[in-house]
Amino acid sequence: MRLTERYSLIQILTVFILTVAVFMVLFILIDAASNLDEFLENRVSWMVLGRYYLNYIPYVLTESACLAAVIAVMLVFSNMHQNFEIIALRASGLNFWQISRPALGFAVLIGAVVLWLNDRVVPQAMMHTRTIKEHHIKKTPSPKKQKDIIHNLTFYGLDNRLYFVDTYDPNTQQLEHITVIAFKTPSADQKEAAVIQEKITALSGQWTGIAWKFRNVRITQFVRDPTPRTVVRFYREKLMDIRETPQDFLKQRLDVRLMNFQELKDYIARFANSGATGAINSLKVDLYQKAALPLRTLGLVLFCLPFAMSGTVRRAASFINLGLALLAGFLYYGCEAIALAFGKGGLLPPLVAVMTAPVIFLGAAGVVIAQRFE
Amino acid sequence: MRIVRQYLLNEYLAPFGIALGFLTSVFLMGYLFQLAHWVINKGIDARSLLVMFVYYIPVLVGYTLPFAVLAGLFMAFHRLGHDNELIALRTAGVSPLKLMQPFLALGLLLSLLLLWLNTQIIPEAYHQQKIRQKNLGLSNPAALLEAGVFIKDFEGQILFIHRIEDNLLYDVTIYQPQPEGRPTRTIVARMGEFVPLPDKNQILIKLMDGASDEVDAANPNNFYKLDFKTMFITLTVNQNRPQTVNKKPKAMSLRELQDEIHHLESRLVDTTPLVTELHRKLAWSFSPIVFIWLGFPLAVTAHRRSRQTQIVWALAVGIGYYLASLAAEGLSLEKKAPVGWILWAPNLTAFVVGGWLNWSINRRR
Repeated sequence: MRLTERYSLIQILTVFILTVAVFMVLFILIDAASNLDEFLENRVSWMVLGRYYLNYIPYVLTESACLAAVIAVMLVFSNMHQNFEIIALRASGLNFWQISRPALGFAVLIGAVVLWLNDRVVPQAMMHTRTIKEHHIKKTPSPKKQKDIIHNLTFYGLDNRLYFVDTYDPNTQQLEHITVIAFKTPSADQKEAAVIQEKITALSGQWTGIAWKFRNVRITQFVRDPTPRTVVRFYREKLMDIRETPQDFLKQRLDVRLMNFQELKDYIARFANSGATGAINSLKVDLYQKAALPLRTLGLVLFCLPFAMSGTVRRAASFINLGLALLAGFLYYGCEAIALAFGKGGLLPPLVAVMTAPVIFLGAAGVVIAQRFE
Repeated sequence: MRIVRQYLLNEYLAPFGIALGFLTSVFLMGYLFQLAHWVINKGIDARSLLVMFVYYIPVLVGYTLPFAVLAGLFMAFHRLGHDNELIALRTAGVSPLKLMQPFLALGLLLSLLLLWLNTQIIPEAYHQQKIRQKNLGLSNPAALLEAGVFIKDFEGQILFIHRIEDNLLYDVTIYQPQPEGRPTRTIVARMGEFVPLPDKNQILIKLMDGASDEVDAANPNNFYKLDFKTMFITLTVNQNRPQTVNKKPKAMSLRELQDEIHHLESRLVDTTPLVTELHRKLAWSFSPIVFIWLGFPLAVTAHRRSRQTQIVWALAVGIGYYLASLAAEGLSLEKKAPVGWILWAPNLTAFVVGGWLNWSINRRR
């Protein structure tokens, strides 16, 4: 690494860490101030509070890292410009890309870190936060050291099946009052979304270790050929052809927003044959958005850098550039929010919706760089 | 001196404004996604959402304004120190105390502004935000219908709809959990048409070509099945009526807090949370002037160090003050210290420490 690159990178990193620290303090402060009476009322210990906020930190980091990176880059490079260091570098033969390499590399690195955190750490951390809040802060009653009994468990499972379970006890792996509706995969030319093929109701179910055993089972098959008719069968006990295991049942509680990339991809794959194109579109937007997160930092940094590195040297340049970074951030987030909303609403294809804001800002950055530096 | 005063204030206002805008905007940006989704996909009135957005701003400013005061102070004096203007002023006989005067005046002004915000605006904004958040689903109950997800927003029903086009629903499944451990009733329909009834917080659905069945709890081998061509079902939004939302102490103005305290005291009811909140609103309102009193000597002496060190100083002062305030609030709520009055302890401590620091820098000539 060149000396100049190391020099600017160290400064960028320092400002970035301090900016993120400020955001974290504010986030935690606002949360603590809002929930203080609950903490005191339920006598929450320092250990629990510490764990709660420790699990909150990855989420805050992913939310604030992008803007903090932009601020850091803008401050450092505008300072360098004010001190005529940029002019000196350009006079020595370095072009825009060579001078901004540390900033762009930093932006890519931050984007990658945010991507990794968002996929691997944040979902689990947010689950822990919720659990801590429910059981240790709000003190919702639950058996100690046991998993909660889940009420009204609903999910879209494999083989186009809708599951509704009145109660599921993960400790005994027992289900109560189960309803499963299986839909037939529609063909491409079928207009209707799905056709009910089979309905299974059972009073209880138990995991045997290899399969689910349902008791007092009624299986209703909706036959259409040659004549539409309903065939009903009763069983006292029956081993069911259900591929989901107890662990899968537990996982289904996950909010789509708390799924990582692979879980969301699997969920979409399960859903793909349902014909519910609207819902699939919305999920695809979420999926592609997870993968496109690094582009946000890169797009903003590349857009703002030319402004920090050029223009008249003014005393208040740092503040003006900070203001510009803020404005650019707002525009980017606004553009992204609208495009994603259009994507979820089916007005734009999912990939186009996700790529709209990065493409606009990267394109605008290209134009500005060409105008000011080439 | 007037020119110097004007000049210093001008140097301060820009970084203060940027810091305030920046800190507040960071929190607002995350909100944009939700707003865009509600407007574009849920059909919720943009004006209502904009009002909600606007109500959120004063709540944030209540937290970010004191930090912005500190940040502006350190940034302004870093620049002045870097250009040796501070040395020039001191050489000309302008004492640090004289330099501080315009900032103290500004701090007092900002404290009065924050007092007005904390006692009048923020409580109302907080309350209105809560009401509108609860109302979001009620003003347009149809916005709660979403294809491909399990909808649990209606009393006693869980819905799953494969596809929605305008007001038409395709392949609808409705689960109706029954009380007392009875088996769930399931309704399945090929098609449905809905009509929102926002005045009643309901949606009327006309289900077509479907069946409803329910197992006989007494004899699981039997079940009741009803095939229908059309069936009407009413979905009631699972919400309390917003007008019954009780105001928390945070959502009460100063006058409301005082009235409530008097009312409860006359009935010999414990008023600790209300008294604590009243003192918190007042004490926190003076944080701008406290930060200037404490931050000024630190900013003046720290200007020689790097900007990063100054940011650390600013953070340390801010965090220290707010941690102390939270601790004081906790002690007050627990009645382990004089209820309410303990919340002034951080201000008093900062005043004493700031006084000592200011005396130190003025002593050095």
